[in-house]
Amino acid sequence: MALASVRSNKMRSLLTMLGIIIGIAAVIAIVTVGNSMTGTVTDSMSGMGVNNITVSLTQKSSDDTSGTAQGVTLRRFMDTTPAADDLITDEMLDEFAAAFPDQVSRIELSQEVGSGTIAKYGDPDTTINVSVSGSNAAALQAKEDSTAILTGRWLDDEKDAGRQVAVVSEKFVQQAIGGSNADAIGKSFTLTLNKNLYTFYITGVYEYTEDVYASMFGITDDDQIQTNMYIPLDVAKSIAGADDGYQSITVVAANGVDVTSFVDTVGSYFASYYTYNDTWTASASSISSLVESMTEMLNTMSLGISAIAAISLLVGGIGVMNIMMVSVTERTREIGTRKALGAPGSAIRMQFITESVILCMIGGIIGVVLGIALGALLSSVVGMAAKPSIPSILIAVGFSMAIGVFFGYYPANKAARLNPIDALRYE
Amino acid sequence: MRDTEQFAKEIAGKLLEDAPADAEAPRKLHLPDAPAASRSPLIEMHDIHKSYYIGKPNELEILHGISLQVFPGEFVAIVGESGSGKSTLMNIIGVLDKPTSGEYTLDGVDIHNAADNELAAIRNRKIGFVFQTYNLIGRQSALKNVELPMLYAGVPAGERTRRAKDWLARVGMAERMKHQPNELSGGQKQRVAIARAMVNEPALILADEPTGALDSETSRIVMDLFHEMHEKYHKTIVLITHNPQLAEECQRVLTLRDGLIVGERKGSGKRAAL
Repeated sequence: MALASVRSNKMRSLLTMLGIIIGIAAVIAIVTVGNSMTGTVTDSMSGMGVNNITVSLTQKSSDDTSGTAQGVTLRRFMDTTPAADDLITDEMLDEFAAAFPDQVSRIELSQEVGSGTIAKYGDPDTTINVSVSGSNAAALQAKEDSTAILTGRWLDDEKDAGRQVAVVSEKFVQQAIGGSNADAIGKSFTLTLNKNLYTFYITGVYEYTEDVYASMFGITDDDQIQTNMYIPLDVAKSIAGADDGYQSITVVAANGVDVTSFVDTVGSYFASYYTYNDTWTASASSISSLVESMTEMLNTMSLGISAIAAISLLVGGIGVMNIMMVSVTERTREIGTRKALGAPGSAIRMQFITESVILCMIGGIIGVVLGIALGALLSSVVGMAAKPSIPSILIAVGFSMAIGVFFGYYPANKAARLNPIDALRYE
Repeated sequence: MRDTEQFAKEIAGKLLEDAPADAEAPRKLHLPDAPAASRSPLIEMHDIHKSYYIGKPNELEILHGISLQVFPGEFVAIVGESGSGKSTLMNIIGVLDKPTSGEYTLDGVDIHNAADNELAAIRNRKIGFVFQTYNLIGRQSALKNVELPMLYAGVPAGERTRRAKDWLARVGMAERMKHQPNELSGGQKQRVAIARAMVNEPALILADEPTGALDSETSRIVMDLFHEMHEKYHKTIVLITHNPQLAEECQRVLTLRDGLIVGERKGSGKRAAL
């Protein structure tokens, strides 16, 4: 009965539902995108370790009053990269480790060298890219947690210091060395790195896991696969021509330490070394604080869009109310007839509320479908799997029905209260 | 709007002045046709007054004290010119409206004390309406239209459909029960409306100018249908019309003028050619 009246005025019903459709679609789309975003971020970040605190050099802001000399502002403007004596030193790290023996599990240090190339095994014309980075044992230990060493061993800080040794992936062995993983141990290979040739000996082969980002961007061609290779930190520094000291380090907090509050302690500890530095200071951040600020950002965004959606739903609801008023007026004679046939006011009220609820529910369902489609589209644009949330869909449909009841009540009540005589005579 | 109300009041006032002498007489009803006294009347009205705009300066009394009785099984016509108060009387008989003063008992139920929902229930169970303009619900099949009174009476769905089909067959609309009102002719619509009026087995059929919008041929068919309902199913029928020929077909004719019943006579029972 109620469906018949919706169907008989298709265009009008659709226009009326539009506000509801847009509102619900917006909410569902943003929830879907938000869901898939947080899902992907937590997935990829959970592997990075929530105990990690990154300490890095940052430029002092112009309103930072610390510093020694005049002309600070100009120097801050000029210096875009930290000088050798601005870097975090090994002494600082030793003092820091001594100051917080219980809280600090290890300090990970690494030096990016760059991308090296090597001829493909059995195919000299093709080159394979490998990104080279120097790592201390602590940094490799993090790898060890998630990545298995297949043969050989990870690097050792003392034993391997200054040696041209490398830990490579099984993929690298397959493509550049040839033969089995076990055979590769002790073999040497020559890599073109920063336009120079370097020879390394393989000490270990680790299990290759597909890169999250590579799979995200759909890189599956073997030739394009980027594998990582790890060399001792001091070797990496000399190849890269880097100064002693570090622009950025990773402190791994011991288990049971409250990372979110420890971040501030670490940050202020390292910043204290830079009180008299004119341009640079050190600051600390952690994955959990990053995740926190990201979800916070997402929440703010969803809140804003929800507010817009709420306005759209309100407008849509008023539209429904308006069209129901029109419907009641148009069908005054019908209402009169029904009353003459013995319909109590409650039956008339129910009839119109049902109509309004069905109108809104159809709008809600269209909105949900549209929202999921839109959310999937947006998610695929940023390269994430869409995750529509079932509870939010149910809430959306339920909410649109509630709008139907709320905004349908007044017109329905008006219909229920019509005087049957006036209604019957209505032209 | 104001002017017409004023005008109507003046007219009503004049008419009152003109006819006070014979106003008393018609209230005393002789019921030549009334069945044995043991049968209680279906409709019992005593000194019914109906006024509009009560308490306002343009207060207007339409019915000036109507008393009438209709017994079960009677076919009564109420005739009157337009403006005589026919519609107002019909609304009161059909409990669509309450009288300002006076007593009205329908099938033993005192209307005066009934609440709106009770009035709706009385209309549903005791009265079947047939309107001049058919008043079928658009976009619903003839079958659904006939089912409607039973829906409000709480009859189960299967029973509803069965009875509705039954009555549509009796009025000769069995083949067209799936049609919507806009696919039916005027006469067909009125037949569906009669089926709808009969389907709840009401005590009273109240027909307001049922042939007013029909040509003479279809009018005849519809009138014959009323006679059939009366003779075959022994329904009490009150027919409101301004057509004297139609009134003549009924058992008793009440003439309404200026809000009073001014005449009462037996109908000839002769069916007009129309």
